[in-house]
Amino acid sequence: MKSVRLLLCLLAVIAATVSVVAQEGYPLTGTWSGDWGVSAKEADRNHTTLVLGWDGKTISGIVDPGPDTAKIRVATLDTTKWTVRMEYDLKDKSGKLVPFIVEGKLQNPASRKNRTIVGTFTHGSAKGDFKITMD
Amino acid sequence: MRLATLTAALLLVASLSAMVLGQGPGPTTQAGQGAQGAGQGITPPPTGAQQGARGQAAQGGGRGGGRGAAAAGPALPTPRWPDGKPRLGALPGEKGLWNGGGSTADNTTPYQPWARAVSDDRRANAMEPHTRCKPSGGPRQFATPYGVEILDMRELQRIYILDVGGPHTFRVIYMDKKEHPKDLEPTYYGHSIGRWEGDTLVVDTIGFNERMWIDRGQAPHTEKLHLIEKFTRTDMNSMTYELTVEDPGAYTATWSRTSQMSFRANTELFEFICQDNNFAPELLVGTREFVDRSSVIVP
Repeated sequence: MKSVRLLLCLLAVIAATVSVVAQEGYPLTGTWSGDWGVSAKEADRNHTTLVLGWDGKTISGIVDPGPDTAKIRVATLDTTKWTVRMEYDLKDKSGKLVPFIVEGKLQNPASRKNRTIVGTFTHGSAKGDFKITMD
Repeated sequence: MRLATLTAALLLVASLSAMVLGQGPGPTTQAGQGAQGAGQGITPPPTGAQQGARGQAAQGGGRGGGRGAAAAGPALPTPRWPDGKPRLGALPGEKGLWNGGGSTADNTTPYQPWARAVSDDRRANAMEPHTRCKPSGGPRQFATPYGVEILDMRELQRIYILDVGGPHTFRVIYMDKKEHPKDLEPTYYGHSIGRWEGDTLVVDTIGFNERMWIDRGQAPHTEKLHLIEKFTRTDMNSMTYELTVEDPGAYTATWSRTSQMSFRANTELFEFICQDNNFAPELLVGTREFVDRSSVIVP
């Protein structure tokens, strides 16, 4: 048990070290994490992780890697205003896949410091705030 | 036994992280400060000759470390190997470093919109990775304070480019390879292969990561970056540096830039440790607005 705990601790240290490797290229490329929800109450918040990439023409990526992962359907970055729009499908409370639309603004686009997408989401009839930060 | 191994591994990782915390800002000046308000400081040099060279580098304001101190009068011809190929370094028994050559993008560069926007934003708001002691590949290596030494190790069929300032590192150009390896792991300097075209050394490099800048902020790049650099030593003190940039992730077309490098004779590499001399530890250790030294995990 102690060994497992030590191993987990070691992995956490390594993960923390790796996660701070800065990405200096396309502003959205990388791993982002944060949350979204219809209110600020803890029960309404949903943690999310996005892994985004850029092939020179198109932004692609996955959302929440794991059993409920989703693929980014459409994503755009308007570099004149640093606005971001992303569309993908997430399950609603009934388990049905419903379009999830994010509209936000990229803050600190060329900086390692607190590169963040802050905005709103629409998920069926639900609306709320959305915020992710580059790891 | 397994527990002991795990504990040892954990301690090793923790000690590596903690090492960065162990250094406070040393006795430094701000002479090496870059245009963006950050850079490496300077420690006293070990020799008088280096001191002279370094003083000029400091006057360069961290913008390439000196302007090249060519001797008065006509320059000597390009030094050559017995087979006639140009020597890119110093002559045997002599010493010298190269400065300059870091010129890259400008308003005519065929940026993709995001790359132009990032370029603008970088220069207004961002600190370059070099100021945090990160290696910087491509042309940025030649803009390292105090210059670079080029070592042509013919028996090894490799050319090494060693920089003085920055992260105390080097780059290898393989002269015995015709192709890059497949499935390269992206790195700061990428993978370079070289060949001679007449008197010009042509260096082809791919495999860059996106954790550094190839200049002081003008030219964002992606992992698709492909550089071709041409080095032509036109006389003892001068080298023409032609840079061709191909990156379909960041630019709409291939673009090129030519600049000059100057040979500074009687100057040699000295031990510059970026981490020791960086007068901006908050840049070195963190992505945050403040330095939190309560954690052993250094960002």
